[in-house]
Order: sequence, then structure tokens, then C-alpha cells
Amino acid sequence: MKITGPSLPIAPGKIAPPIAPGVPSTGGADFLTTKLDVAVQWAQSNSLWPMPFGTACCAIEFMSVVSSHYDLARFGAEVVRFSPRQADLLIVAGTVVDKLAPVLKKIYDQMSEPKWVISMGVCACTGGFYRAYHVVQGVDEIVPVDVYVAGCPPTPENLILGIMMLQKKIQSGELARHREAKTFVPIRVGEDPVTAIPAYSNAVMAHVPGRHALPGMPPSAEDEATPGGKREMDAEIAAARGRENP
Amino acid sequence: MAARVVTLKVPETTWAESIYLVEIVKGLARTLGHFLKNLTNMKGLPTIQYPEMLRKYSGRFRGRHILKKREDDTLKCVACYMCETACPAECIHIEAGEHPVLAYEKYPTVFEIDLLRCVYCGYCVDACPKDAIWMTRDYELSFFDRKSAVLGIPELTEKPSDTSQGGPGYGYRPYEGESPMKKAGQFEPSGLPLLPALLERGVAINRMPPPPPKPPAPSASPAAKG
Amino acid sequence: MSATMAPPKGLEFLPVLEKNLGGRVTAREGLAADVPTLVTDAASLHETARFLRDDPAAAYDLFLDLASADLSRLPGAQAPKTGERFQANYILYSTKRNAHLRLKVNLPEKEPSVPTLTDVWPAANWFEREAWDLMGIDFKGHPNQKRLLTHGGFVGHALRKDYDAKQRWLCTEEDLLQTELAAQTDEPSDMFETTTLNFGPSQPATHGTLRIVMRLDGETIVAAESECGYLHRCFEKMSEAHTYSQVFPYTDRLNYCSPMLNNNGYARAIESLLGVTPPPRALAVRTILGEFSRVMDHLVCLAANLVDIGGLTNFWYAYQPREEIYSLLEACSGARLTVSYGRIGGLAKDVPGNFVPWCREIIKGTRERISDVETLVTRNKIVWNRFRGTGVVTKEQALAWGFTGPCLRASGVPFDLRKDQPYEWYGEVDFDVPVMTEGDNYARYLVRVEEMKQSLRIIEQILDKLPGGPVRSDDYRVILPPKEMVYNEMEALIYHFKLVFEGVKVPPGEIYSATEGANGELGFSVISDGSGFPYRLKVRPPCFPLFAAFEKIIKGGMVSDAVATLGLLNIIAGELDR
Repeated sequence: MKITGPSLPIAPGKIAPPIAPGVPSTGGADFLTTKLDVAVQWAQSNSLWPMPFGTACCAIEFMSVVSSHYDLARFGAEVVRFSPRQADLLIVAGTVVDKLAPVLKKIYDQMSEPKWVISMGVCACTGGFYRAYHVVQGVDEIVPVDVYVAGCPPTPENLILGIMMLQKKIQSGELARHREAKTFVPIRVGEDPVTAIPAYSNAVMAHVPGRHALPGMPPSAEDEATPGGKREMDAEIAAARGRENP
Repeated sequence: MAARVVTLKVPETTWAESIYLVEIVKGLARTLGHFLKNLTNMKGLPTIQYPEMLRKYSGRFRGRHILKKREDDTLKCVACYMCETACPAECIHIEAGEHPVLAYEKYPTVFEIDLLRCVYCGYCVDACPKDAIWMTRDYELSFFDRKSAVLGIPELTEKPSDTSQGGPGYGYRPYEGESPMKKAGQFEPSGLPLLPALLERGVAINRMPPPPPKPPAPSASPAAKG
Repeated sequence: MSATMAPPKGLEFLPVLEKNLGGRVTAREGLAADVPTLVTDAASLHETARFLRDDPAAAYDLFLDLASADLSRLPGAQAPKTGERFQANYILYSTKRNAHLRLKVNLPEKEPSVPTLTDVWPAANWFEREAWDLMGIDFKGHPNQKRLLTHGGFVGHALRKDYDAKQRWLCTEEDLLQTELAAQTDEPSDMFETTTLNFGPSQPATHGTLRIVMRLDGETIVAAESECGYLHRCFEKMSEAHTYSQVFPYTDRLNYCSPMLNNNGYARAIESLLGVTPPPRALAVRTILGEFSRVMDHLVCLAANLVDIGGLTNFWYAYQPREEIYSLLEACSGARLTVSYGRIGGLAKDVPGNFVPWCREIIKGTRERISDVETLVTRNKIVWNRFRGTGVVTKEQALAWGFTGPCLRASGVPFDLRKDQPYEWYGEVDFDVPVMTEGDNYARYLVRVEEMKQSLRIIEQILDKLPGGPVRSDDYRVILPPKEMVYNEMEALIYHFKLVFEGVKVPPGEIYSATEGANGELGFSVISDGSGFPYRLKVRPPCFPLFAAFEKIIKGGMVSDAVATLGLLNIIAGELDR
């Protein structure tokens, strides 16, 4: 399907390099299966059934997207399913906090393949301006994200653009992608990745005895310097752990 | 002029209402009315056929940022860190350098905005004392990965496509209409005359050696590029 | 305070109380704009609370808020006495006397503990749990003192000043499963007959962030326990790390269905603390956009709830006026939903030129769509069967559980801050406060519909006499000077720099300021230490007591009624969990 219109300027910089490049070509022998793939991709991209994991403000804008002014039905994605087993597109709309992280992971695991994830809004993408003790700093800590939609909340057009970008991605054979949850690498503006939370995505679902402090964001120099800052806090946490888990 | 307390009563159930049908038919008539109205007047439908049609947003819309330029093509930004301080999301990262032209003193060597952190509150525009950062009506901000959402100086610098016909156009900005500095008879926001005039008057010197002469432009045809 | 002096205004009962308690209660002087304050100690708290509730001269029947604070970093005269560190501020309201009161208890650094007030005001239950969770104040005798907003894997108390705002803790699935939820049934012998149903958090009717565990006998709920915190975004901790003006974007996201009302409430709190009055035009525009936000909020409530019970068409109808109002908000502020339009001392910008005719057009369209919804719903027997007699809350229950807003008015208490303590432009306009006595879902539905109509009426009246003039105060110590001055005048530039880098310097003090949010009383308790950052900012979210009472309302009803009730209580997770 060709998307026309002046307003789909997917700049070259916006498209990530193909993640599973170089599926070896076998000549013309698999002409039929290739064509079948194209048909399947066409069908999949035009009948995305979203499961809105709506938690906050972005969920309200998602409702705008499905209501009459924007009408997501024009993209074949109007069948909003609240059951993960019936959906193939997870739209994470809104802030995901640590308490909700296991729920999100479970819902993602319950969706059947093939499945895609759109992270709607900056809270879902990076945590937004909630650099705080209870907020997941981007849902890619937990689930792999295909398209990040910026905005707080994004305009409905922007979400539709995200869905169209996803459709293009599906049509380009994105199915071959290895889709396991990533380990989280927080990106701080202008810095290289600093701290990695090892296998957080697996840990939230596993039975992990005891209490675990997440590195979260690296403490600023100010935190280190102030009395009662990070360093003293560490000691206190250690003491607290001792109390709770003798 | 005052508020009054009014006690509402639950409407009495009439016989007609208790048999479901009458009210349901009334409701159906209302929805059918909408259906017929829309059918006969397709142009009056509220649906915005994005991407073919765009919703009209106002000139205050808070979208992607741009960095404004002076008339001599340098950035107006003087790296004062006001926007970085005012940003509640801490999404702006600036590194200051000494400007090669003395009159401008400071300029940003690095100016990055993480569009996936930004909450589009417009506080950076409000905070800028030099009229250097504006917002556009560009809301089409979807990305395939997090790194490509971090825009640097090349992406942020204002381009003709931002305001040309078909471009998003200016959004949230410190003033609408003519620049207050021009109105006050001043020059551009640096408060100083523009660069060539400074050089002529000997007020400023250029620290940088003059740029090497450009190689002659290749007689490139579109086919050769592709 | 000596007995010979006349008690402060609003505290006429004080001599009796002092006599009963032998001087363990004192009134404290505060700001004129603040609510009256009584200070007591932990030992006599319970007795004081009982007196304040039962004495006819006091009659504080509504428990509004518990704002805890950690005073350890307060400088100078505000610093706590040696050995003291914490503070519990109970905010009370008397519907009979239309008066607020703050009851203050100072607590020691080591093992801060006070007796629970759950038996005096049942509404205190969740507020105390929250204070335990975030501040670590122990409530002796609390029936169910455990973490509420943060998860089970959390260590420490996040709002204490020595807690690092960036320290997260891993939450595993283990930490969510709380097997004791809903284990308490009324008939333990009946265990074989009943089954447990987990409802939420990812359930369409719970809007993604609420969780209720029910014990069912057939389809009847015999016990339920609700849990929140699935959207705890640390608003209060974040606001301590940002300047007063930077908090506006955060307030947008409290009740994200009506962001302008939060902007108004927060701006009013800080302006009262500063003693700044915005120009009349700014107040008028705030009132207009606030009332539009109230309409939007009620429309979302009705639309979402009617979808939950199966009436999809209303959703399309109710969302159309919302889009129109969004256009207006966007033209004023620059964003559809998260407006950030308020500023301390006024508004960000003046409204566009065609504001008045545009508003009138929206009012006309909104009336049509509300009439559509009414035609489909109000006299529809299916809706009657779903709404009437379900989720009943009596007047006494509503007061005891701390309800405010439409839910309280649907139960028969005509308490509306717009009427009782008019602010902004509400004193200048005529409007009705709809009240119903049934207290069921249908009453809540009718009250909301009528409130939308009244909101439109208020807007029309203000539009008729919308004053001209500026929308920003000219006090440049609190609001950024206009750009013309910043670019051209040195003095304005200095104010500009100081405001951005240091924030608005709010004088040291304390205030509780309340406005009528879409769901009820939206209060802001602010403690200022004289710097540009709020020392402590506590929100009184209207949804919090509503959801706290939800588990009691649905007991004895059907699961499907619980869905209808949840929708019409209109729980907005953003302000519930903050």
C-alpha cells in the first residue's frame, strides 16, 4: 500500500538500519513463498489489532484517536482488544511505573506472535520528566519497542504516523526480527550509555528473593556532595535491607 | 449573583418508558438522524483524513523546537543555559564555546534536545532572553529508536522548510508579529550591530582564519547525484 | 493563648476544647489566606479529634486530607525543635459551618507515631496508609497499615528528605501478589462456596491502573479490597526538585481529563502564599477554561462509563465537543491536553482575538451533544436497570468516607466550593448546584449532566462581561517580564534571570488552598522555606477517598454493578496515585 500525502516525511535519519539484514538469497526458487510473505505482510500491516495498555494522559489521547475526529478505522486498526491474546499491537500509552512493570511484561508475553509494540508518549518512551523513584525510565526496559512516538501526550496525528511507520516496517519484512526483551540502556542526553540494568525485563517476572535496588539514573555530582545524598542513602538502604531480611 | 442549590428529582417512569421500546426507538431516531445528516452532508463530517488532510493548529502550538539564526547565519543562541535550567524534563544539553567573533562572545558547541524526554511545555521558549529558541507546529515526531530522537544543532537550526508553504510553520514563540527589538529600533537580539558592520568599524576581529576558497561547484545533474 | 483573649475567628469552640484538654491544644497564627490551625500532641490527638467531630460548635464532619511533612531541612525559625522532625497535618471541613481547619501534630525523629483516626473519620484510613508508605509515620491501631502507593519491593519512605529521588527498587511479580487480599470474608465457613476474582489493573473498566480483588459468591461480591499505586509518578517528590513555576506542567498531569482546573488550583495556592492577585481578565479566563475543563471531565466520565456498560454510541457523541474544546485550549495555550497555561500571577499568554465568539460556538455545539447523550441514556430503561439502586452511598456514608464533589452532591450534601467559598469569578455569576438524595449511580449520572449545563451557563455569563486588560500581573518578582522589556531593558533582564535560575521566591509559610476540581475538592498544602522550590507540596486528590470507599460500596452488589459504579465515581489514576 502506498501512503501518499505531503505529511509523511520519514526522514532518512528516522529509519533505523534493518535489524535482521542479509537473509541469504536463494535465487528465484522461493518466488512463491516470497510473494506469499508480501501478501501476509500486507494483510498484517493493514489489520493491526491494538491492545491499548493505557495508563495515563496518553490513554485519553488514544481515545481521541479511535473516536470520530481521527477514526483509526481508516487504517484497519479500529478493533481495540483489551485481551492481549486477541491483539497483535501493544500500544503502551502513558507512564509505566515500577509497580506496573510486571503487569506490562505479562501482557506482552500473553500476546501471540507476531506482535509489535508502540510506545506512545514520552513517559512510556523514556520516563519523560518523571526522573523519579517509582517510574520506569522507558518501557524498553521491559518490552522491545518498535516505534517511539514523542509528545506529551502526542497529538493523534503523531500516533497515526507511528502506526503508519509500523505498517511500513511490517511490509519491509520486519517479521524476521529477533524479538526478545532488551536489556535496558538508559540514554542521557549527550552522553554515552551510562548504567545498564541487567536483565530487568526478566527479573520482574522471576522470583527474586529479597529487595533489589535498581540503579535507575546515575546520581548527579550534587547528590554525591550533599549530606544525606546518594552515599548516605546507600548506607541507609543497606541498613534497611538488614532490617527487612535478617 | 449567587449560587443556588437545586434538588434534582428522578424522573417518574411512565408506562411508555417501562416497555423499553418507545425510548429505544427515540434513541434510534436520534442516531438515524445523525446518520442521515452525515450521509447527505459528507463534507460536514468531523473526521480529519490524516495524512492527506492536516488539522489546523494555532500559531501557539508546541511542537519540535528550532534554533533561530541571526541575519549573518550564525545562531542567536549565546549558550546562557537559561533553557536548560528552565526545562522541567532536563532534556536540553548545552555546551558553550568561545565564539570566533568577539562581539558574540559565547555560542553553543553542543545543543541537544531529546525529543523523547521533552514534555513540550514551552518553558525553554519563555526562558530564552535572546529570542533564540522557538517551537514549530511540527508534531510528526515518531522514531524507530531512541538515539535518533536526540536532535543536535544541525537538525535544530531553522530551515526554510520549517516555514515554507507546506511546512509546519512557527508554533509557540515569545512574541507574535514583528520582533520587539526591531520595533524598539534595535538590531537583532544580541543587542549589537550585525557582524559585517562590526568588522568594518573595527569593533570586532575574526579569530578564525578566513575559510579556504570553495572548490568550484561540480556541474552536477540530478542523475549524477542519484 | 490566654483564656481572656477572644478566640480567633472560626475557632469559637476553642475555650471549651482548651478546658477539656488542659492546655494541650493551642491555636497557631498563620497567614490570613490560610485555614485556621490547631496544634496538639500525639497523646491528645484522639480526644481532640473526637471533640472536633462531635461538638456542635465545631462539627468537623468531613476529613479532607492528611498532609505529612518531614521538617528536617527547614532553616531558621521554621526549623523543628530538637528531637522533632515529622509533622502530621489533618485538614478537616465542617459542612454545617463551611469552615476548614488544620490540626497539626509534631512528631519526634525516632519512631514517629500517632494514634489512628480511622475510628473517628473512616476516610482517614487510606490517607494514613499513604503517610505511612511515603513518610514512615506509624499509626497506632490502624486496621491495615501497609504500603499503598509504592510496591511491595520498595525499601524506605520516599518523601523523607533523605530519600534519594532517583533511587528505584525492583518490583517483581511476587511483590504484587498479596494473597491476603480479600481473604477476610464475613462468613469464613463459607470459603468453599466463594471464589476470588482479580479485577485489574489491566482491565478496560479499571482504565489500566486500578486493581480490585473480589471474593464472589456466585456473582455477588461478598468482600473486596482495592489497591492503587499503579500510576504513582512521584508528583510530590518531583515538585520538591523543581521551582514553583516548573510544577505547572506536573499539575497538568494530575487530573489529565481537566488539566486547566489543576493549573488554577495550584496557581491559586501559590498566589495566596505570595499575596499576589492576578488581573481580573486572567481570573475570568481561568474560570472559563476551568469550566470547559469540567465539562470535558464529565464527558469523559460519562463516555467511558457508558462504553463500559455497553453504550458505544455515546462515546462518539461525547468526544466531539471535547475535540472542539481541545481546539480552543490549543489556540490559547499551545497544547491540546496538557495545557500548562497557568502562571503564578496570571496566564502564559492572552487568549486569541476570536475567543468570545468561539466559546459561544462551542457552547452551542456542546449543548447539542449533551442533548444527544441525554436522549439516548437518561430515560433508557436498560440504563435505569443498570444505574438505579446500584452503588448506593447514603449521606452519612459519603461524609464519613470523605467524599466531595459530584459524588457527595449526589448523596444529598450541597457542598460545592464554588458556592461556599467563591473564588475566581464564581461569586459574580448565577448558577445552580445540583443535588440529589438517592446517592446511587443514576443520581451521580444526573448530577454530572446537570453540572455540565451549569458550567456552560457560567461560561456564558462571564463571556458577557469579560474584562479587558492584561492577563499577567506586573509584579516581575513572580512572573516573567514581557519579552519586549527583557530584550531591551537591563532591569527586566535581571528579573528574568533571577526568576529562571532561582524561581519565584515564596516567603516562608504554610497554606492549604482548595478549589473545586471536577471530582471534588482539589486541595494543595504547601510548605515554603523561602527558596524558589516548594519545600513540601501535598495534593488533596478528590479521587483518593472515592476509590478508598469503593471496596465498601460494591460489597453486596454484583460484579457488573461494580463496573458501573467505578465509572461513575470517575477515578482518575493520575490524581489518585499522583
